[in-house]
Amino acid sequence: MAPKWRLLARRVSLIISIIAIIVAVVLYILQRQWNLYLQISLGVLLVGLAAYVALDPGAIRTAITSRQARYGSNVVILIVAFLGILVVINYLVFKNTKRWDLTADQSNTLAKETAEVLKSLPDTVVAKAFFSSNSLSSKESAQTLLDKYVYQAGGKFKYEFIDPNKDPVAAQQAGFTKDGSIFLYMGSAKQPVTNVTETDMTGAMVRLMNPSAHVIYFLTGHGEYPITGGSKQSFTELKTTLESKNYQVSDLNLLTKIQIPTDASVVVIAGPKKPLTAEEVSMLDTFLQNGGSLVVMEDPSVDTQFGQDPDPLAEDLAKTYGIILDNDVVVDLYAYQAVQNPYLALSYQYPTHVITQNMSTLITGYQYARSLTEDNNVGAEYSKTKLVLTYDQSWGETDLSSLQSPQFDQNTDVGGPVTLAIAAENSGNKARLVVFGDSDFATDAYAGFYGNTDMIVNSIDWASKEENLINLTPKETVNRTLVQPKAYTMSLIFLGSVIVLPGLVIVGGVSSWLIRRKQG
Amino acid sequence: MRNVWIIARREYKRFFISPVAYVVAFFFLIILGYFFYANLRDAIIQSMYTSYTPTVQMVISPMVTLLLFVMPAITMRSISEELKMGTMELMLTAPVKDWELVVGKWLGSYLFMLTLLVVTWIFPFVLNFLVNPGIDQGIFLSGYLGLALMVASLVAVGVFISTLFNNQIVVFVVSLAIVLLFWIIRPSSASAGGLGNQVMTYLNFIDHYMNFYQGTIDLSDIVYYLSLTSLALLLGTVSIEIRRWR
Repeated sequence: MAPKWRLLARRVSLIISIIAIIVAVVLYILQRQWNLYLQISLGVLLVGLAAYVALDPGAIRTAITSRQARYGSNVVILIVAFLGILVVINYLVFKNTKRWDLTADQSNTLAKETAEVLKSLPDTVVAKAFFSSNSLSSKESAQTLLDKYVYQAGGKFKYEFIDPNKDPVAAQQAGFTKDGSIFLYMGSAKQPVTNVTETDMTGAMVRLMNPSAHVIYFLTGHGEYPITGGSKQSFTELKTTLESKNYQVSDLNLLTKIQIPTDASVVVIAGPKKPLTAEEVSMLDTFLQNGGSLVVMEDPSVDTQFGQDPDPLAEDLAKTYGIILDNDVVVDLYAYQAVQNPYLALSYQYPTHVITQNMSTLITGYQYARSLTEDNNVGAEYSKTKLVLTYDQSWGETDLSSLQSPQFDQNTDVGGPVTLAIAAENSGNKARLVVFGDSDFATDAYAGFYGNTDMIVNSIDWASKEENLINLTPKETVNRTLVQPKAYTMSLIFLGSVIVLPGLVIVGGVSSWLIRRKQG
Repeated sequence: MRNVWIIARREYKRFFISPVAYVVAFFFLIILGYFFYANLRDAIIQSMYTSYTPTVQMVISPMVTLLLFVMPAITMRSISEELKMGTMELMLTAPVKDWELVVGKWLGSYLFMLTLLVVTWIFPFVLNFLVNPGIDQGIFLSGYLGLALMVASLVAVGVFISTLFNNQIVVFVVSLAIVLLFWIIRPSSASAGGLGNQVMTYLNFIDHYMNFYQGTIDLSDIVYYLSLTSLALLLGTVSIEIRRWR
């Protein structure tokens, strides 16, 4: 029989050990550091356990070799072994899982084109998804989509979520501008995906594999705003955005050239203050005839230094392509009511077009714009679509001397809603042309206005034929509609769900109780 | 195997005698029924303005949460009652192996839960008439398959906990606590990547249901639930065996 002090000492050392382990766990949870306090508490634990054993080694020996201990250790080994098998099986299946999409629309499976793209990836693609805590619901749907890519890529696709607020350095390195966007990296190439859909993701992957150098030339020599410098009256932000999409952006002075450079994908004419020469216009025509694309932004004459000089570009657009730049300034009463600015032409409607298909909720604003008119008798090989329409309460004021207090004149003015932009595509050589009646909307001054940047970037994308890289086979979706039930049907449903069904359970319970009571 | 079936049948029949099962089934169905009606009403309003059409998910979504609370209530009795009433010793001396007892109890409770799940089919059935041309059968199949697997593992956990204590309330509370733990386990956002985080993500109970919920059957989810079920049954068997030595 061990002396009393030994028993007490054993108990005390056991209690100290238990306290020490609790302290160690709490410390680790709170601090997650292997610091001195943690080391001390673990040391105390070890000392306490050692003392517990040393004070009565006989008891320990009996405990370890007892029948219970032997059974106990067998059981522990069994459980550990079983757990080990489960872990291995789960791991193997997790890494090589198989999926069956049972939905009628196959909505959980990626298109076969995506599967082919994933198979042909030469290297691993890493997706960095920038979602802040403000976009949790779009983060969930993005994660669902990304998981599908991971599953079908067989290891060649990885993703990670980064909160741009918590890691602004990573966000800036990627060129992050819009919350809820993803950047795909393969090797040193990068592609942004601002609209997280399967089409855009797969398209971006195709672009990663074929980094074609699209060169966008901004025309100079006519007082256009520069593409560098960072002032409000420049296109610096546009250039930065285009370069983040792997475009090369340069100036082009056609006055000193005899033809447009052969590597040009799109030529942008961004708000010339002086008219283009006939030779330049002729070079642009040739460029279009050879399948090149143009984006023209021409301001109303009051916003330029054209004076009374002829405008060969406008004439050419009207005579060759059937796009007439009206000689007016758009007055927008809706903008006047909203922001006291009658010359800020606001978009009201975007007729169906690839450029604006994701912009239904994004308004665009054009300060000092001129309206456009389609002439379908001219340029029949170009199928034209109006891109932007204004509100009804707007018009194109042609009396340029009355701009201090414009009045709508039915006979001379262009009645609203007016067209602010037109897109045209040559059905033969696939040349593309986008014409805007304003250039300010794309400058740094207005780039932050809702959909302005999207509008110009999408137009350039479309002009450079970047958007048609991938056409996913549309899935056959079953169109399901809810048949509006009559009030009587709804009452019946309420009765059945809330009263009858639970009621049957009660009836069942009561009757079974009664039967048992009867049986004694 | 015959013993398993005998015990399972006895356990299943006992549910139809016990008031607890009726009370649990009543609350389960009335809450589910109310949610069905309310969600349907909302869906009708929503479908007038948008192209929203309800799917069977409308029925399953409240069911998942309800089941997590119902399970401990159904299984709390299974073995702890035997312990309390002292009939455990009788069971242990009978020519019934420990695993047969545990699996039998589990099977009986599981079959009762499956019966309850089948009763809930009335809701997708009604919904099928209200949707033209009918609800997506694939989501219905995968949704309920996932539920069946999830319920199997929940019942197994409940049976295991039931072997540890002879007080049913304690069994209920501990089962609920463990289920909730598996429900909310997630890596902390402070640490990124790492093996610990991946393991914690994998262990999350509800995440493995999401594929079923969306109409996809993923083999790793099936393996997860079967693993959890078999582990819980093993631990339950071991727990009974340990009692023999006492």
